[in-house]
Amino acid sequence: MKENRLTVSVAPFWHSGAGIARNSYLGMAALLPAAAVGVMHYRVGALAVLGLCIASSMTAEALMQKIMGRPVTIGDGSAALTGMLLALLLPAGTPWWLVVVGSFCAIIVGKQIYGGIGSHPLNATLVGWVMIRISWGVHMDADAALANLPGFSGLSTLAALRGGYVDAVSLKDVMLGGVIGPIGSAGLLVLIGGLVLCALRLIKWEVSIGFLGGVLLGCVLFGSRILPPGSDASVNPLVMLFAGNVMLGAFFLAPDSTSSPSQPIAMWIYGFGAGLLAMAIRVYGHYYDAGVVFGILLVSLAGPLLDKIRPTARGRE
Amino acid sequence: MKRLIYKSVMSEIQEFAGTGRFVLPLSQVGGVPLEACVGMDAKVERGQCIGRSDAPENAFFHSPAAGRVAALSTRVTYEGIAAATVEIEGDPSGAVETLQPIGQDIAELAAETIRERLREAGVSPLGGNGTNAVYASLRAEEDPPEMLMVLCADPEPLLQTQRHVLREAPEKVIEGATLLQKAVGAGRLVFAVSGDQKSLVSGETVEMGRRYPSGHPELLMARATGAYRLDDGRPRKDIYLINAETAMAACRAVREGMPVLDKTLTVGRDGDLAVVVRVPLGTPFSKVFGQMGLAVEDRDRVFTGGPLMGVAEFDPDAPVTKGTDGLFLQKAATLFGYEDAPCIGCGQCIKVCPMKIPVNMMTRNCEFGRIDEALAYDLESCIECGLCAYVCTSRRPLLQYIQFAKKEQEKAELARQSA
Ligand code: SF4
Ligand code: SF4
Repeated sequence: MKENRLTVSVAPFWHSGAGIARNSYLGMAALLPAAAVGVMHYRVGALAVLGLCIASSMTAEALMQKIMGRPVTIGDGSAALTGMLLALLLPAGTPWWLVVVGSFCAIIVGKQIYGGIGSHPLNATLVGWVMIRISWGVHMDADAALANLPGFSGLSTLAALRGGYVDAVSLKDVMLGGVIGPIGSAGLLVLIGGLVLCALRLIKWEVSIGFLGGVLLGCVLFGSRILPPGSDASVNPLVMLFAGNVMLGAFFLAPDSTSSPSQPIAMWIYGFGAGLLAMAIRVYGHYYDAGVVFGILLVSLAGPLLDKIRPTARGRE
Repeated sequence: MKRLIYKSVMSEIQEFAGTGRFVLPLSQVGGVPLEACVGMDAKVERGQCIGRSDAPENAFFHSPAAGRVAALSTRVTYEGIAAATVEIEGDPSGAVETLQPIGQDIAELAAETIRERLREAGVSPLGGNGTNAVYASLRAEEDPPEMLMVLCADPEPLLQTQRHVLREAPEKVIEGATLLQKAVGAGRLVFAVSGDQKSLVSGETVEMGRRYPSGHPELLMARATGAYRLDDGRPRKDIYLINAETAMAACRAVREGMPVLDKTLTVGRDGDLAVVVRVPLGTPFSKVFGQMGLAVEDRDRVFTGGPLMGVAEFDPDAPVTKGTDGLFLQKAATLFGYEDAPCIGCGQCIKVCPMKIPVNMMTRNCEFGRIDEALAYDLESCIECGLCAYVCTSRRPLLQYIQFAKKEQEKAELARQSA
């Protein structure tokens, strides 16, 4: 009998070209402008945090996969993206050891112990961030961390608002970075990158838009309570929308493929709920700087439950 | 993302008819295999009957060439059926031994007469390999279907076969469809067409959209009847589905006494070349490609049908059958690979699924043979359009998981019945 020479497989024989690597690298590309502006403002301190975060995330992923005897997949860029996002949430000047600990927490506790990409119930970046925020809060305080850098003193945007110093906040700085805050503070650039990803259908845009909607509603309902009691100043809603990582949350953290739901209605509820909760924590909570982070994490816990809200399949009506 | 748009690329239908060996597995879509009625080394005429069966749903087989029977063998068809196979050496270009043409008006013809003629002339459903077994075989039913639906455009991008047949002889397609409607006793006759074909047919139509999967037979049938259904692996009871080529064959069988000897198909190299050709049944794939100057090499992929629902072939010399609508070659260097990777929950599959299935959850269960859970996640609604696998970010072989689970379910069903 003649040898079989053909490749056989089940249909389809075409593929759209989508892939994890493509999503990760395009995600990183969309964050690049914001990262670049961060480096422009905070100089080499920001560059060091970015580089170290990405490198240690990838190292953690490779190490963990080796230990567990799984194929090493750092080439797909997913660990690098996690690292980049973590860096953008940290202030320049965060001690190097804390950066490494944060990255390892994100990759190992946030992702790999559940079996890696596709299995983790929470956003890995946020898990890493929260672990170091709670354990070494002092070092993550942007006011303190940036105090070592020449030219930066004062309060972060949200701290200023909570203190009632409305005039100290400039909308332009909040949108374009350069405030006392994490490296990825240039909210406008993050927004543009996020919109590009939406247009390319690479992220769950329902979650993003829902998130922004939740934030806006929170602003309208109780935004002004962020000011100290008795203050008669008013808060510009745009400041609330761009400060405190809202854009990173809306386009890069909340729509994380694994930890967010996938059904249409569920995605809207999830995004909206996370946005609203983020505002509530920012206004009323102790970790006001972490409103976005905690808002997303809390709603993620309900993700699998939300996915039960789904349409009736055709043929079953 | 590359959009899956139906494009119409019209050209003349090319005829390939060189002498040689023709391999004819005696099986048909929706029927049981037939028996050969010629012996080894027998001399055969072009158009002579070489395979028959007493089952009323089976149409006969005829020799596409004048020559001799060179071998009697068995071939496993793509459906996994071992079929008796007649191999003929000869010339497919001579005169055809036809049946007596029937000239009467359709109104005067008895349904029984038409059915008998279609059977003798080998008119069984043409095309449809890989299209989820939705084409009905032409038997008489005790309770006739409501509707006969004729697909005049092709269900998948890349395929151009049916639209070429319709343009070639629209009056024959319409007459054949009317004959078939009478033969099966269908109440309504509906032509499924694309927008640009409306002027070619008369009567009731249902129009497909510009993008796949709007031409998927299940979706067209659902639009024509207003009802979706759950897949039980069989053709719909209330609709007979055929395509333009089958209708044309019916017309020629009745009016010219012409048996089915050849098949029209779209042939090409995926990506840059596709033409519509008419070749004698039983022509080996390698020869069809050869006529177009295409060589099949190691690790290339050859598939029949379309790119989303087709079937990969393992034998480059497999023959063209009555079911072959498309035949494509993908060069090894251009193939993409599926991966044994976990689902990352990106939700793309859910967005594209025309049946609103929670595909991510359904296929996770299919993958591990958890059939009851897969059924709870709407496995039975799936029409196997392949879109989910086409967009999957993790490149999971989703359609393979689905087909695996459906087979497992079938097995479990059989076991339950026999217990
Ligand atoms: S093949 Fe996939 S996309 Fe198509 S109907 Fe089935 S589950 Fe939905
Ligand atoms: S497209 Fe693939 S990776 Fe994305 S949710 Fe569906 S099965 Fe999972």
